[in-house]
Amino acid sequence: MDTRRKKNILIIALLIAVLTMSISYALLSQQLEISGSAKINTKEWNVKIVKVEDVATQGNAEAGSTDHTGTVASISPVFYTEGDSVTYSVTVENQGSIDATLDSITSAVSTTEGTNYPNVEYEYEGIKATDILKAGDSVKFNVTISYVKADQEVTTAVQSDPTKIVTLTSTLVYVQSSK
Amino acid sequence: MKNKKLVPIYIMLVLYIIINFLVSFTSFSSLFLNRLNPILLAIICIVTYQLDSSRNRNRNKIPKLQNFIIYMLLYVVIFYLFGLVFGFYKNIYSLSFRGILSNFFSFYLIVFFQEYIRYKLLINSKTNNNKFLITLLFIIVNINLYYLIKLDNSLDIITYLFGDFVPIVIMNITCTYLSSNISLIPSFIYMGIIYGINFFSPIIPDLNIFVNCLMLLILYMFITTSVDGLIILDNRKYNKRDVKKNKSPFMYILLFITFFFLLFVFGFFKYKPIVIVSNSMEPIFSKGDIIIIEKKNTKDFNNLKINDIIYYRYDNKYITHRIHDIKGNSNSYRYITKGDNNDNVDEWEITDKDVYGKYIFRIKYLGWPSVYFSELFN
Repeated sequence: MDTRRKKNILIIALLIAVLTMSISYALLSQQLEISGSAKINTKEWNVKIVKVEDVATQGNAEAGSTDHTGTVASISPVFYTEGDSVTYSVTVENQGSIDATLDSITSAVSTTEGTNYPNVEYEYEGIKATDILKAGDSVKFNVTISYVKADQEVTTAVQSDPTKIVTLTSTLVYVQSSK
Repeated sequence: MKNKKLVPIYIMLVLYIIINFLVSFTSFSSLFLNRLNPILLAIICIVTYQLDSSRNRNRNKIPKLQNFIIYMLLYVVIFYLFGLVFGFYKNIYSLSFRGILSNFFSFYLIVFFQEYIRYKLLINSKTNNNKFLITLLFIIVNINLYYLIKLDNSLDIITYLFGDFVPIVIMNITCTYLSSNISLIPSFIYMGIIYGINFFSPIIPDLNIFVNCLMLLILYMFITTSVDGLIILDNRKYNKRDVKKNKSPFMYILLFITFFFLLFVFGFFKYKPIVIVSNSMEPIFSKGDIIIIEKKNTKDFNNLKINDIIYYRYDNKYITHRIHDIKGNSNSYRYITKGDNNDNVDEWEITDKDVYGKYIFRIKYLGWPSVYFSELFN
């Protein structure tokens, strides 16, 4: 069999491999580990959080620290007593050339009180899934995190420390708008 | 420049770059980039059409094309197999019929216009200086100058450098090589596959940006070695002077070592290196040391015991401390940890799902460059 023919057979075998992988991945999509969306910005796609700042506090709460990278924002208010709350303003900009739609917001809360932390509540105002952020536009929304009465016993290693530092990490998942 | 017909095309490309940059500052940049950009490039393509195509004197294109296609398909297979290890992310580009059509016209078609223009310029240019100039011109065409000036922190700069800029450079060098040594078609196929994955694949392997860059570089090395080898055989057959030299095997060895080192660093294998950035575990290990951890899977959790040193995630940070106490039962353990050099136990409890791995051994001082680098950019 000459070299050219062997290479053609190899090419066909690789094409079949690619096709098989495509079908397998489509059928097994539930088992694949698929996370949110692209983390890399390009000249076409560039949606990111540009500012996170505290706007209001209730009770004895302190604004604490904030951080943001890409479309992930972390806020860490400091609470002292039940009823304390802090409101933050988050600004998102679409610096790319493609309109974006908010697909979802995922939130994760961590505290210093071990694994039981149902005593904080958070609420987003001014943003929801399916909101469109056009290219060149920006959107500002508020997130309020409150220290409410505990529903269940909380395990804490340092009982005498009255401060409760919580961290709310919000991940905004944007996709290209199809409208 | 000996071929004066190329001058207007160079001027048009430079104007194209300037217009793109200036329009980016205006409010209708999105409209321009999505709708007018392809039209501008199409106009340049029409002007380029009048250049002579018969100057492509590359012989034996079929064997070169076959080798190239084999390496491209291998790249796709390996790229998606890596997704089984690193995970996937959902494509942000719309996969509706309207979305695909819009993206094809706005972004995908541009790639083919650019490659056509590049090919015509290359086959009508004789010197290597011209090839370098053409490659540089198309690198500038592809990078986003407006986005460059908006980078405002070190993390953004590094992410842009290795996530966008370096891949653009490697891809343009590869396309120049393909167009010069084979023909237009492999250049189309190469860009078509690379951009096709980004625009039209429902899921994309979530590779680290450094691994992605290295994969593109390895692909370039294999393509060029294979095609250069065929050119050498060709020259010998026609008794022509060997103008191409076989690449040193040392280059490949170095590339592979770098590639597997990157895979090791980013956790592809069972053991992973971690740089220590605090002295909380002195004297076992200190800031600037590298420790090797063994990644844990679920069935190994029952083997963790008090005094084991574990690597875990808490509050968006990774911490390496010793297990001080274990609570709970085999269904759900909770670990209380403590740094050997700390007076008190840690104020938190962690669960099985937070534990990433277990400490095996340390390498002293080797992590200091990473510590300096990290502190510099923080």
